Amino acid sequence: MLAIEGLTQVFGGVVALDAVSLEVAEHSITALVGPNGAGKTTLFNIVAGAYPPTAGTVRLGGRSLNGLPAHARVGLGIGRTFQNALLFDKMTVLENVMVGRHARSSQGMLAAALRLPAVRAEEERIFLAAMRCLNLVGLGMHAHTPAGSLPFGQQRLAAIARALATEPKLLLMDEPAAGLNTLERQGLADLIRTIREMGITVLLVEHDMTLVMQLAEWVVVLDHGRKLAEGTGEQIRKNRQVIAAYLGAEAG
Amino acid sequence: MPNYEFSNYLQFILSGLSTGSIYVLVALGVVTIYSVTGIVNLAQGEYCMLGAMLAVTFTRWGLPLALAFVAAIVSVTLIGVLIERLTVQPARSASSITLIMITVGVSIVVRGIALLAWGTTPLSLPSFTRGAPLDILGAAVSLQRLWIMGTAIVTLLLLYFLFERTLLGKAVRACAINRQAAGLMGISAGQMSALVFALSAALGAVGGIVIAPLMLASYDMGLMLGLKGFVAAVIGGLTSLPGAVIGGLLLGVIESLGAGLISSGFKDAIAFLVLLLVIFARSGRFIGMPKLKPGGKVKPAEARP
Amino acid sequence: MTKRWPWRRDLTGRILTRNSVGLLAFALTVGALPLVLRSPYLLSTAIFIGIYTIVTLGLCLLMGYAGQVSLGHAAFWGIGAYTSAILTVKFGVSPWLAMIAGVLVTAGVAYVIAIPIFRLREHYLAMATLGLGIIATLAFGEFRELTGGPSGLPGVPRLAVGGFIFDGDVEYYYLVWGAVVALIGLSLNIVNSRVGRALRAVHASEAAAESIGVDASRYKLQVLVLSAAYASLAGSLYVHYMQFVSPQAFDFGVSVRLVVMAAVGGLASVWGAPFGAAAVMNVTVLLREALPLVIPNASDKHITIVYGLVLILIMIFMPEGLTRGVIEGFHRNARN
Repeated sequence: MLAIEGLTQVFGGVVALDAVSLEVAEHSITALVGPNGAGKTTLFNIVAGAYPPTAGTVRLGGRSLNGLPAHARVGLGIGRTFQNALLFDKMTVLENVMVGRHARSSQGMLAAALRLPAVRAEEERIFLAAMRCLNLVGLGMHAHTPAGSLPFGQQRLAAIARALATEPKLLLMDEPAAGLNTLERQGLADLIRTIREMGITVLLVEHDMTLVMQLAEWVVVLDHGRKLAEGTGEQIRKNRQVIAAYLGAEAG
Repeated sequence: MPNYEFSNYLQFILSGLSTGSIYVLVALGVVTIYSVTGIVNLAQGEYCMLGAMLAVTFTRWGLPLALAFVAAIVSVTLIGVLIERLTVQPARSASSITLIMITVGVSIVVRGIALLAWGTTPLSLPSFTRGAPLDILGAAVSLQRLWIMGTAIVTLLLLYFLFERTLLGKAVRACAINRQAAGLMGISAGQMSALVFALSAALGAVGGIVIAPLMLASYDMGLMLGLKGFVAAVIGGLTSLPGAVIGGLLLGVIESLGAGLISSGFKDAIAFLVLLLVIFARSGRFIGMPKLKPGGKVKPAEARP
Repeated sequence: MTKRWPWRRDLTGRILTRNSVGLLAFALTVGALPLVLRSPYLLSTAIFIGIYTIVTLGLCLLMGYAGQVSLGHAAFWGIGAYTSAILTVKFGVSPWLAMIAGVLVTAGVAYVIAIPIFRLREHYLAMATLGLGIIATLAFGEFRELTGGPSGLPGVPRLAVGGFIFDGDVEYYYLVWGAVVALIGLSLNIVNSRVGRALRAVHASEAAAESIGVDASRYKLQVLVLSAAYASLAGSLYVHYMQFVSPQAFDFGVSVRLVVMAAVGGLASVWGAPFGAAAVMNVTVLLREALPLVIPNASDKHITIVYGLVLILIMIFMPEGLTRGVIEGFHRNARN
């Protein structure tokens, strides 16, 4: 589904990613792990289109994404969530998710100004699709709450609902479990499995190794911008280099 | 286009260089403030106006010329700090458009107060040295223009010394490169902010004083000077001091040549046409490239200049 | 409608009804005003407020929803005005066609500026519009054969429909405020639509908005063009009322006054626009009366000081604009 080749990113003098290549299989749950500063978020940003890489290519379903801006990639099926939710605080939860339908709807400014029947029909569809996503993550009853007033865990869920509304083929989740309690993490794990059942490929960055072992079929380890190892959860757990990298990161 | 000889072109260029020197002084102020605080200071020209008006007033009060100039520069510097404390500090975490509008408001208020204080009649300052214009290869260059260029050069040297050799100057540069890291080193963002406003005010005042004998000081002289100096800063890249110098001189020369060769009615428009051209050209270069946000780290999600 | 889709009343239903009712109430109030205002001077002021409202409406959308600043919006107003004036006076074109032409020209200028600009950060649009404003004012004064130069262009005809000429102040009042009501309606529709949501999203977090498929630059461009179109319409209405046009009516000071009106009214507020325009105009009129008593030879130049102070204060304490700040303060107090 996703093929990354030779991805390199240099910021000023800092090499954030050094010729990283990896593949994410369709319909899988793949985890991207590694100590802090390994380049995981940078990789996400590049795949999502926030900025172009210094070198390397990213392909989605065989098609190169190079040069495409972030908003165009959404139409092709890339969705993402951020580490800190980044909800539109003053808008309601429902409105947040409805914005998620943006790439799958089309009525423009002029039609909206005149409130043509086509616009009303589309609003209907957007509303229904958004409610479905909200109900999927369990936030249906909070539809009309201002997004900024939700507790943290629910903000995360709202952000996931919003990303789901874009009908992604590949969902990039950046540390979805950070800051969640045990109960919430279980719920999150179930949700991610449900998402995969819907046919969506999941690539997640996570520090919670228990969750990663529970969920991920494939784990890729980054360290200092390079791919250190990849394999199943079991293989990674036993990999000496990985252990050394993590211990080194803890000691250093 | 009328038939011009070499000496005419030289005249335009020299005249352009001297006006350009003023733009350089204003542009240096704009760049300093922007690179350290991220604020686009549209009120920069008002410091020129205040410098000129106060200098004239001090001479009218009997102070000798040199003393009047120093007093004017000091006063304007203090006013710059006052403005920073009153209008920028309370809003330091606001969005950049909010800050721009505050500076617009400041420029209006300062102009208005000047109007109340001095009225609409322009004031004149005598040339620093009396004498006939010099003849350089057929072009007549007034002595005041030489003073302007000389002052600009001296100011640049002083700034170079400040930024390269003094601890304070290096602190300012550190702040411009990475505000957070500088903060961790103990450099206070608030103090830096006041400092750069003070510095820019002083630069503006110098510019205003030195051009006053040529263009008559009045309450609204700052608007155009400020905007054009601002254009010069944009030409040079908004974050580069050498760029400000090149931008200012270039703008002065283009303006002078344009006014002489094409039309003098559109003289003021030339600077803004150049502005639009530069902005258009720049937008082509910066698509999608991460760019250092002034005073902060690269923010990948907002990677635009 | 509410029975078939019971949830709709909460989301789109309630918003629509609230706005429709609001608009109706507004229209009725505005429609009744000439019956109350006896003085022709007040009626004339009301017409100007209406014209300003149209420009401010566009500016509020631009500043509040697209998060951009235009420091030269008077240029768009002026381009619309001059296009109408030149086409009707010099070429005998029908005023309505000239008005449409004005909108097209102004929108075109806005479009050309906007394409490269929105990739850059917000202050570049501020600079570009500043530059545009000054160039426009100079151009209005310099192309004498076409624009009449600094002394302006007289003889602009009145607007007419069939045999009915909008000659008197009362008719013109209804024409202008009719346009205001219609444009407020259109603007509310936009704000409460998919596009409006996208704009609000971009305003809240551009990174997040882009990540879910919103092309921020495209919408900022559309809002700029829209706001320019509004300004152009206002310009045409202005010119057919004054039957005269001159460059001084569209200089930098006017652009600043427009920004102050938008700031007072509330940047992201459609309803704020008429309020801001009215408030600033009324204060201006009051100051014109009062200031000469305190300061001899006081002119509009002195009044500009007040604009500057107001702008600074609002931007420091209530950057979302006065009405929004007051409303939110109200809500905060109500919650506590």
